[in-house]
Amino acid sequence: MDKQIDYDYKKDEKRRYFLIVIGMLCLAVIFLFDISMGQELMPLSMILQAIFQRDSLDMTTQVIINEIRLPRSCMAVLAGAALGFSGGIMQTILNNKLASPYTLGLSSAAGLGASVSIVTGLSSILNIGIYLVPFMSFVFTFLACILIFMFGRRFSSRPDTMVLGGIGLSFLFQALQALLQYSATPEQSQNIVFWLLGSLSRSDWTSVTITLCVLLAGIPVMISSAWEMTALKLGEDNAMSLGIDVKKLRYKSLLVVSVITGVAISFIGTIGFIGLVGPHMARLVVGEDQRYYLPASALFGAIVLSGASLISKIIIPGTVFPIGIITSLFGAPFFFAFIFSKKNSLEGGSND
Amino acid sequence: MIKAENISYSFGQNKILENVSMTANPGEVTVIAGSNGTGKSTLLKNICGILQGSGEVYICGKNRDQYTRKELSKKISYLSQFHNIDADINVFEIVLLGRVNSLNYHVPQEEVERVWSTLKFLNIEQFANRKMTQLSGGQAQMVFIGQALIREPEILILDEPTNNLDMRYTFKILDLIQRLTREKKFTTVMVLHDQNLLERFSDKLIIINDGKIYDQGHPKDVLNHQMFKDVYHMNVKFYETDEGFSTIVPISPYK
Repeated sequence: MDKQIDYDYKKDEKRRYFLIVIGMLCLAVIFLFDISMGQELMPLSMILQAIFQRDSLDMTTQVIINEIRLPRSCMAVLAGAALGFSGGIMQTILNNKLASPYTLGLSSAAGLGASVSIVTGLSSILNIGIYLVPFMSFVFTFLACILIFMFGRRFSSRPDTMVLGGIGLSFLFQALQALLQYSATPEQSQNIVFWLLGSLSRSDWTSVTITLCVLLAGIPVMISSAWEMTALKLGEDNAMSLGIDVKKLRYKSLLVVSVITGVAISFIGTIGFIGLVGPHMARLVVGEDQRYYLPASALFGAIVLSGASLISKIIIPGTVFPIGIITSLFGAPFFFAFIFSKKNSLEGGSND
Repeated sequence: MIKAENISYSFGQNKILENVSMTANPGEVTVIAGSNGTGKSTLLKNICGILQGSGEVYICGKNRDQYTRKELSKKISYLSQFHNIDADINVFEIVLLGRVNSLNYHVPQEEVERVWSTLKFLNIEQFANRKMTQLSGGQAQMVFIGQALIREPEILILDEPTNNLDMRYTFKILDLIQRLTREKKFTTVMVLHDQNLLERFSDKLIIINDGKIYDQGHPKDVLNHQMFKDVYHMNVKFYETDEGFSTIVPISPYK
């Protein structure tokens, strides 16, 4: 039998590296368009001017760019990356392609936290009120993670139990949040709805900096365990026999996920779709070697959220439309198309 | 060399293993057999430390608990009964994962070559770029054997390595395991079900029944009518082949 082997692992590595670089270039283009778009189109030169030569522009333009557009566009990239990255980690450690911050109840926990601070009036406290909403939603997300930890500990960290526990928590938090909303004043209720829909309009440089710092801390921690995560993909027993402390890896990952997701969600609200869709696109493009898969999950998360922000500006210029709606509305068909096209090419393609 | 002393393991209220003691020697294939659900897999997992019940396990003369996880993983290659083959990882990467403790972010060229030589040794290099879902059961099992071998272990622990395989692959894999055990002086322990292969491929046979050792020794001595009645509740007939191995045919249930 003729055995033709035209596989070169090093080339395959380079190919995936190259795909990630292309993805980054796409993200950069979307990001630049996202800054330029708005109530009025601002050319790139004007934006660069606003950043590097503030005094050469009139005050209004300068403030619009530096205090509104730039932080929002940066937040779209960072929060998208955070959610995509967290979703990628969760899908790996829980060995479940449906796992995401949304399915595990983290998003609903954040929603509950935000609702609590809005209904109890914490959010209307002068000066610090606006920071208390994200703070509370972060605290609640973190608590949800601890609960999932405890579920895991109780049931010897079986991933299915953790996923089920998370789904249960998600319903519980949603019910509590609905209860709060039901008893809230119309105005408070309106605020809750707006928060839940997710929006980039609350972004400022503080939230951007915090999200960036958390990402810069979390990503290297997980990438350093990339091989162990890949080994875990083959099953728990296999990973354990390879000398990997599976429980520790799970707990470490959940901790990183809870902080990153908690921070991202608390600033932009619940955008469920990205944590699911980012990792799936990553898997289709670079496979599941976690060295590529995790960065690619973050990258695709960023592309989707940034792209959604851009689309929302194009279709309804001048209005602040909740980004969560746009993300799912335009992301879903795109996602379907992506899955189907890739599936077909996989089935039709020759791998031998 | 493996020496296990008084291994007991319970899952909740259920006692799975009770005071099981056994040894396995280098260069020998020790086969564990017994009816379903009697604790064979649990025993294997206890030996390699994936499960930790009571009792002592000595690996190459040293207590298992004195090894770190990584040290242990260098001594023992364990092949699980179940694999997640759904992962989007190709054959090359699965075998490479056997070297997970020697990999940094960057994969050194020597590790790449090591994977190629393992793939070639097992004659599966043509599948290097395939996903597990694109392989037959026998081919997939060869890949996991590749992952076990690339670790250059001293001990091979295999949980039903021929599960769901056809006759050809079953023979091919067992023959390979037996040959490697003799040549490389592996201490091999495996769970095997097929009563007709036990004698052909084991140097020592341990029969487990209800979490305890029923009998152990040379397969010719262990495989007898009474054992099949007690453990499998079956009446069997023995036939001798020209090669001197017994063929065991189930006749009727024995209550």
